[in-house]
Amino acid sequence: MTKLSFTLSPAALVRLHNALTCLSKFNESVSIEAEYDLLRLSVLNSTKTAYTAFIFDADKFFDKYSFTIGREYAAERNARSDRFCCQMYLKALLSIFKGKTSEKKDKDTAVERCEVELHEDAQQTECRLSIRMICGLGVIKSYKLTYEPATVQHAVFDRTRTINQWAIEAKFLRGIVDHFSPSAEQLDIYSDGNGKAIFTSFTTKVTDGKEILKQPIHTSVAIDRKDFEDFLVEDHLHVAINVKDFKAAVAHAETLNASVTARYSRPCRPLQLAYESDGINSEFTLMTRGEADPDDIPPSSRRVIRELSARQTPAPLVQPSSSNNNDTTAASNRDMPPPSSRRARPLTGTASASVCNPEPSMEAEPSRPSASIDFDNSLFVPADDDRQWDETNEEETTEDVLGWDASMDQETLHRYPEDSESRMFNRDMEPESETVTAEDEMGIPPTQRISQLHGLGLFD
Amino acid sequence: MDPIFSAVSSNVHQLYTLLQCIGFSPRATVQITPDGIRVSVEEGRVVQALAFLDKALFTSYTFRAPHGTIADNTGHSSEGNDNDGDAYPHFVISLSALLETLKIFGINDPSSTAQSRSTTSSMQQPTSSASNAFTAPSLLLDRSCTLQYLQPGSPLSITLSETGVKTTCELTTYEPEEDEADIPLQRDAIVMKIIMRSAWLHNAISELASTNPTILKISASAKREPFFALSGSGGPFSESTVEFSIDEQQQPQNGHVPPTTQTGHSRSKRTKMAPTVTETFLVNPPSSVGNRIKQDYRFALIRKAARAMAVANKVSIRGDRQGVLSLQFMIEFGDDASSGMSAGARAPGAALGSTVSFVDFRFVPLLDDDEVENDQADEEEED
Amino acid sequence: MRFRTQLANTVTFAKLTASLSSLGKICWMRLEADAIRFTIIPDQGTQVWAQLPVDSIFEESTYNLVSNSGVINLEVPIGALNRALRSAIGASSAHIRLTKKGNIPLLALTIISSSWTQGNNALGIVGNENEPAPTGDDTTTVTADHDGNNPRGPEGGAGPRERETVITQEVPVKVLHESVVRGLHEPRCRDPDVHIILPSLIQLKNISERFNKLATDANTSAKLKASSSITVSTMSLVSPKLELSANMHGSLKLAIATDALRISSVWSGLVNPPLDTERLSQTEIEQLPSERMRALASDDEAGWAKVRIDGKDWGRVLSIGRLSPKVVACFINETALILYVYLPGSWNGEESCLTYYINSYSS
Repeated sequence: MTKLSFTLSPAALVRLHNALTCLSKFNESVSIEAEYDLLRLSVLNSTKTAYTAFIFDADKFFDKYSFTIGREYAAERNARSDRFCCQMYLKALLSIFKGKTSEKKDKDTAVERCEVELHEDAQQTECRLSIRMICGLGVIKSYKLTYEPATVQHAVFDRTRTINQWAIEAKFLRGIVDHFSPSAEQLDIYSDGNGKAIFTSFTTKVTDGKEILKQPIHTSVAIDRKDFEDFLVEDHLHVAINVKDFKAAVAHAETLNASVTARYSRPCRPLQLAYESDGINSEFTLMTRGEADPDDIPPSSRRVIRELSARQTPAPLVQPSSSNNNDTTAASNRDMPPPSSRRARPLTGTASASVCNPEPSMEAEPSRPSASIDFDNSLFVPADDDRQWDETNEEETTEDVLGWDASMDQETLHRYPEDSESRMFNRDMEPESETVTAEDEMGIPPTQRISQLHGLGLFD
Repeated sequence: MDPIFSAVSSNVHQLYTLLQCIGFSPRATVQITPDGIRVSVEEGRVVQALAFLDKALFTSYTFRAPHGTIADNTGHSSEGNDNDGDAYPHFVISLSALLETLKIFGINDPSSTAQSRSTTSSMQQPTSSASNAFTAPSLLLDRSCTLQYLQPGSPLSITLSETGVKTTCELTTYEPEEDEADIPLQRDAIVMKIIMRSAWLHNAISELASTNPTILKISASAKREPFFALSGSGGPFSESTVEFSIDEQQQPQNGHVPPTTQTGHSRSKRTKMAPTVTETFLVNPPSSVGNRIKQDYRFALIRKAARAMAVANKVSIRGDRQGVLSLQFMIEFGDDASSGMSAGARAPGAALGSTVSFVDFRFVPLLDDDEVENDQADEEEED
Repeated sequence: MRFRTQLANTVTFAKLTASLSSLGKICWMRLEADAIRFTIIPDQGTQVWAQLPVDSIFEESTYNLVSNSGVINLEVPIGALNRALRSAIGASSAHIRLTKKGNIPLLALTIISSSWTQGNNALGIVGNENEPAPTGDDTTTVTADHDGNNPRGPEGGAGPRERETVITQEVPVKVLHESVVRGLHEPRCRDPDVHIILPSLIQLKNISERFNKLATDANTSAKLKASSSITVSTMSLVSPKLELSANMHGSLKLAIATDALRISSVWSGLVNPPLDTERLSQTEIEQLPSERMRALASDDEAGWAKVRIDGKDWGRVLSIGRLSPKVVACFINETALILYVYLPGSWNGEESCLTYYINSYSS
């Protein structure tokens, strides 16, 4: 019988929740892998252009951690015998961990520790994960969740092969992304050779001549190389990634007060953002796009953008099921074991990547509605409460605002408005998005509304 | 002509807070009595709520019982009987409109009790900048609200006055439905009575709500653990339970301990076991069901009381043999022990000492498959 | 054709564009030698004709406008401009210029933002291991986390320093030929029946919003009662109409009526400002409709001029309150409401005026 159990302190609970929130920006379900010395949560997005993993150190992150694997499990899965994998809906997990973290108004019954237990028994059909929150005054909150057995895909990223690398505090990156339009899709990064690093957000939407005025703003932010802790980058080399992925990483890194290191080689090859803090190893492996020869056209020109999209911008090379578990590249990187999935289609950092595969999956992902619905309003909060002048959404105020989870980290919501859970909800419930925005605008405490409970798609 | 009823409040916020607790229904039945105003709502005959605006909440309260001539259409139907000669005015109004009107005084949605209480107890700034007028809760105190009901059939009129602007709202009064009946709680057959801080119930229900259950299961036993547990089931991903157990652990980090919490040692000597959070814990299940009371309710219905749970100080949870659940909320104005606000600064017009108000909810139980003995009469319609 | 200037009151400019963008997506921006005009003409709803002296939003000494006709007419996505301007709030300097990228004309904002950093990025600290790390500096923590990451580059500098960020925001615009805009004229209206200075706009806005809500709720609850279902369903589809009226005795009234309620808020003690009557003779002044209204008793119903306005649109109009202006409302009974919005500030208030034209709906 396979058994996993661990205990979280309240502080670790906050970090776990932050990680789950971040993961939820990439896909609906999370892969959970347990090993003897670590727990890994990872998500691969639907277009397989972004892979996010948080690796929690068994000793540093958890108060207690124990993992034993059943022999029959390993045999049955024909998988690596020292690892247990499963998959869960992020929303299910988030709904449990949400609001546990800052119950300021009820200090007496705040969570004191959280115990998680998983027993996998081959005889039992239903898989259950049990979570118990031991709170003050004898209050015990417990949950039973179902999970699905799964094989897990990992992105392959070979750090030793990256040529370019920079590292910078997350708060500086935060200062950059704040200027981007919420509807921007892509982020181009390059070094101008004059001591500046330039971050440009743009959108590759096809623009009809008449629709000029509907084009999103094109924003570029130049900061000094001095702001970086480390900056070893080929000048004028442009790489572009999805701006929302970048924002998700930055927002999370900021919760840890971390410094983010980016590593990449060249366009059409993956870029990895990584940071480590408080026993959590965070990695975002993102496919890049860009020009093979960056010198011929400056990227901030709209002309180029059109070319980029017209050219069927390069996609990640999809490697056919490389069930080769002894892949040397991967094996060389302990943190990134090779995929064991039969449908493994990893992002690749291996040699064959010199071909820019024109798979349409790299096109501006239609599966992600741009959150243009006025998150910009919350991005820049002026000193005075200018937002009281904005139009209030009557639908929003009509709602029965319950006191659910009024204790949820309001501060976080205000500091990272576009990254709060409301954002996650937005994806799945477009009609509600204005509600959420209006909520942000009005500065109402982030209570959960009945409509959200009803409108979560998955919960319906 | 003198109106049948006229009352002035210098603290609209209190009225708003109480009415908002039962604001789940857009329409409410109002009955004006010499002691106060009864405002009740119900939905589908499976949930019912009543807020009583005691005359003590008003600085002046004048009620002239109308002559018997109108008794035939203003029967006190909450007694289920139109002919008992009860001539108190009785009508239906739009509750949502009443709440919205009271909000014109700029009451922000007090989703937290601390916030709502602080609004009643701070009065530092005078009316100064207008941009402030809607955010500074203290200003509410300078305003007055007059309720008036002229004669049978008149609208219920609400007048709000503040510097420079006067708002008058006339709410159309409708005749109440004929066949209104209370959900009966058998007071002589109470099998469970639990009193605790309302915030803890609110917290538990919020907790369960996050997993979106359809059914709330209440389980209580005076003999065995779990003594008192609320579970949500029917949700898409998970089942969740909030259990109120005995806190065996010493908690030196917590400065204060609730009155019922003695040391773990003395507690263990008690013959009747009670969760730490409860002030009163009485469970006497009928002998037919053993020593544990289990009852299911529609979660969505219980959730309608969430606002009351959030603002109330205490809740009394009672259940009768039939499984009818009563939640009685005690809402205290002015006494800010829990929010830490100074109770000294109070509205000049408000009564000294704290005003205690009550809001009642009643719920019809879900039919429990295992307990066929339950009366199945009118429970099926709700499923 | 050239336009470039340094921005002066960025906050004013940002707030102005925010308020304008609530009324329409596209704004006609007319750059003249001594004034900037913003005009919003939505398909339906309130028109805005605004005129600001150059120095109210731009640094006059740097204002450089070159064009054959002496003016430049631009069609600007006002929301995008507002967004771009928000990057400039608090910046140390901000320029705006008309430029072109490929065939697309742009308003390009170049914003230089400086901030003070405690400095001592990881590199600096690691380089000086023997020195005590500065206390209370959160970068210290970061350094510790990156113990293994040996910084190699020469870029880092120790000690506090000024960080400079250069932000460019490019807003695509259309340049309009003078012939295109020649046909656009500011509406002309007859003399108002009542003119009055509005009370606190935030109070007015909040009460208006409650009224909108009441109108919507009333419809909903009426619907629940399933009475007069036809009128109710049609009513709920359209935005509520508020009745706004005023007299020449300092009173303003906002009202709505539905099946479930009748509600009104009455302000009193407001000011009916004198009109600019220099060019008029005494007789002409006496003939003004507003003077005739003033002659009526304060309790005379006939002394009130009334308009019916769209509640939602009205809320958007009132969003100009964020600039704390003085607003004179001119009522033309049952016809239109015209707001003259005078912005505060060091510049000449007379010149800095936004005019809102709001049509009255028939009842």
